[in-house]
Amino acid sequence: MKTYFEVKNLKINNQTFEGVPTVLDIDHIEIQRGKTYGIVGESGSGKTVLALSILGLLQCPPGEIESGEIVFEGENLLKTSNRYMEQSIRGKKIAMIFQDPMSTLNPVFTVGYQIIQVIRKNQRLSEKGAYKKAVEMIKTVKLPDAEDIMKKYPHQLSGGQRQRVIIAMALACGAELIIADEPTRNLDVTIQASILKTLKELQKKFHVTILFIANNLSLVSTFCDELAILYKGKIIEHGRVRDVLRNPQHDYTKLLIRSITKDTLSKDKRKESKEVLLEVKELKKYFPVKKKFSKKEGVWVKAVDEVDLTIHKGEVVGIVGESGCGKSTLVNTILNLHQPTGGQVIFDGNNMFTLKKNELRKVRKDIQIVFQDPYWSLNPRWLVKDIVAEPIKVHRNLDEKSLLKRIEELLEMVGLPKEAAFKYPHEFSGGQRQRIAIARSLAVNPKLVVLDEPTSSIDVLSQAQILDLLDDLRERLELTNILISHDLSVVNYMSDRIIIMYLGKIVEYGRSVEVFKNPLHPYTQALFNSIPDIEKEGVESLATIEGNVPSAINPPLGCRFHTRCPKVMEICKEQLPEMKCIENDHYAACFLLTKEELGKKEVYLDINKSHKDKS
Amino acid sequence: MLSKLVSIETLKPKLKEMRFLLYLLQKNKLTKLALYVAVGLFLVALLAPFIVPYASHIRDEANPSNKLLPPSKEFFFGTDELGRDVFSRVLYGTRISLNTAVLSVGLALLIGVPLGAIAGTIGGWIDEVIMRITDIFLSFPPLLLAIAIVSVMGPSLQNTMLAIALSWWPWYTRLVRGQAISLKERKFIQAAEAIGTSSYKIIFGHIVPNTISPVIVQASMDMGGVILTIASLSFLGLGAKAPTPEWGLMISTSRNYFLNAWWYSVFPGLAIFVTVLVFNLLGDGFREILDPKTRKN
Repeated sequence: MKTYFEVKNLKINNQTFEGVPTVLDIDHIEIQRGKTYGIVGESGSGKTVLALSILGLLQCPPGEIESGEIVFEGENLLKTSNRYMEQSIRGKKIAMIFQDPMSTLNPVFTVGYQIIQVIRKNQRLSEKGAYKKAVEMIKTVKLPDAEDIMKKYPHQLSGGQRQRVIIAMALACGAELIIADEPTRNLDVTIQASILKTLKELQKKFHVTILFIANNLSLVSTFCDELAILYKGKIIEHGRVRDVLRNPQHDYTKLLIRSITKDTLSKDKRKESKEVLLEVKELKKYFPVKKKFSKKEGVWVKAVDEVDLTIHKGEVVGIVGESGCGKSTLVNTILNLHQPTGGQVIFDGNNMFTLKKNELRKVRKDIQIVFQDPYWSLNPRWLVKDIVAEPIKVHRNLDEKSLLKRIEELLEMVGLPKEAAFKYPHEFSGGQRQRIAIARSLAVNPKLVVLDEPTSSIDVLSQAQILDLLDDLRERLELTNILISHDLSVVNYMSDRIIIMYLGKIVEYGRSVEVFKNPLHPYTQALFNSIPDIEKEGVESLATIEGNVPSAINPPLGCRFHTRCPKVMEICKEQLPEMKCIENDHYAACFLLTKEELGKKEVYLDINKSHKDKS
Repeated sequence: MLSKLVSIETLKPKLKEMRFLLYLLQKNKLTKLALYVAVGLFLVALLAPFIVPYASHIRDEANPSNKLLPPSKEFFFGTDELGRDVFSRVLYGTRISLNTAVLSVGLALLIGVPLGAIAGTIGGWIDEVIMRITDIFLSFPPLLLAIAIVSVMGPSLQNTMLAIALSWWPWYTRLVRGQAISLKERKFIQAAEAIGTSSYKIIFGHIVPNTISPVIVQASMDMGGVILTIASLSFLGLGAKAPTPEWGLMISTSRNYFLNAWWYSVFPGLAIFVTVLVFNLLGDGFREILDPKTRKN
């Protein structure tokens, strides 16, 4: 049997300031027709370089293809002319789905127009025929109201919808091989699950082959038949998904598998404190929706709506939710970076919203934040020593000598060499930069450190190290942490208690062991089940929630989740369920969990079971 | 001792950064050439009094016997109506033009950059007031505004500089304000806020250093424009005064002898042309090098 797609001895160099390093050195990749092949690698491992060179889109220079072949249906793509690639390969036979659908779609044309353009370029169809075909394609990718979608501009669609449009375009022009470069990276897990399911269904329907590139091993292992692990430009291991997972050969693969199957930290040692450090009462943050030419008031984005929470000294509290659920706004409002709309925040006995400017500055010393993206949270024009020194300079008076000593002490504490002080942030990797950010946050001995997705933009291996560092520091310095993350394994690993938010409201909270063992709210259950992990075989095992997250501008009446809830009842549409204590310290807001039914355990079992049936 | 050590240590990464920029610069041949010429121009400007063949010709000295001689071995660019060496005067003109241009652009930056950073970072009514004032300044053609200012304050080189700076700063304010608004959303600004850093330090410690690249690009492009404006104002009699070897002024006087002494107007003109071109090329090159998109590495 002839191989469908093959990469042989591909070697690609990149010309840089410091010489010409090899960025990609692949001995062999072979993909059979109709299969799904996954490539896992951290950022900088050469994933995207591979994708681009297959399509002949690699920028040369600085790129430089030294040797090798990319054989597609018996033809070496590296030998063909650019013209030929354009006319009969790119978009015709091989299509690419990028990370960010917004950059693929042209913002000034309607979605319909763009699909029709693609169709007409590839097939001889009349305007009407192309229109019909476009509508049909939109229906195929399971977008509701196809005719309506056709008239919309890309910015009017949600991220998930846009990605579906891109898939529709790829299929419309009859591509046989689809290269998907982290197609779900910027999407929420529940949306990710449904996109993956659609992609899988369409793959079977249209008999396409998919080359799936991602940095997340669990995602790839759930989605693909075969996988290869790319590390520093080399394929270090490949084979059938199960074989690789069960019997990893290379050390890197073993590390990778260990990092995603991590258990929770043993939290028994942590002593429980009754002392309240932070208390949030009925906190509200509404953003006004500006309408230039009308003075009509009352249009608000209810980003955080009546949130109560209490954090004790020494605790780690995890806040989980999809993007737009208000978790970052909640934290920013607590820190008084946003003006609150209503409610109270009491930190260490101080009411944060009534403090004078000077007093607030003093309190700020005790609350520090570590941001998600260490690439943007450090001033690129400052030396590391100045970055770490910034809070010290604001809050304390130290002479040059002791300042430098303190900086070195902090760097050592986060596991960086002293020499790091005299370098710029861009000389460090993502994980190291996050260490710098952590050192800065600890510089003035805070009591509460907020971790806003501390590991989501760094590679898997550093993630585990950063988490261990954070835990170690928490213990040594007696810190209290708020941990915001959409990555449940991180939250499970770190936190004592967990809060689940949906559309500006808390839907469930409790001790994390219990919430993970027995999620009560239907949203929590769906969220937990939609996350790919290496135990799950095939995308069919992922739970999805139908529909999109409603807009926070006019959140649905009643329970916020009722528009997507599989167990919706009449009462959910009219009344807001109250937060109720279900069992010791485990709270949830759902009408299914009424007092009468609390006695019967079957209720939750029923929810759990019906959900599994559905998916 | 320690503080000395610190300053050396601090310098090292800066040098590394410079080396990286030089490397990028080398890859662009045209920019490299422009840079060499620009460095040459600055050297000429600096050393002009020592390298000109006839230093005394800079002043009002008359040598009627050498009047309007064509270019020769003795006088490379010929002589003018008073028998002065045009080559010496053009060389010395470099000093005057660059000096004025650097000072005017510098003054414009000094006014424009802080205002823009303040407007963009703080926003609100302060932004509104600053931007409306810049709008007013921007609604006059720069040359006309400069003419108006010079005619009020009287023609002299200092006033020309002042006039140019006053008509040029709004561009920097706009540029920096736009940059500041987008920078404000960056996490490191939020981090600084959360730390409790004062707005003054946020503006001048975080925002301004990060707007430097586009400002350098704009300023080096503007150098050319400013040199042209100075020449134009002098040409109109609103800039440098008689014995000063200013290029625009030289061309202005040479008009009367244009038909039989082409060299008198052509060489100062060429000097203006080369200088403006070099600064434009340099600006383009800087843009390429400093563009954050190409500098991700």
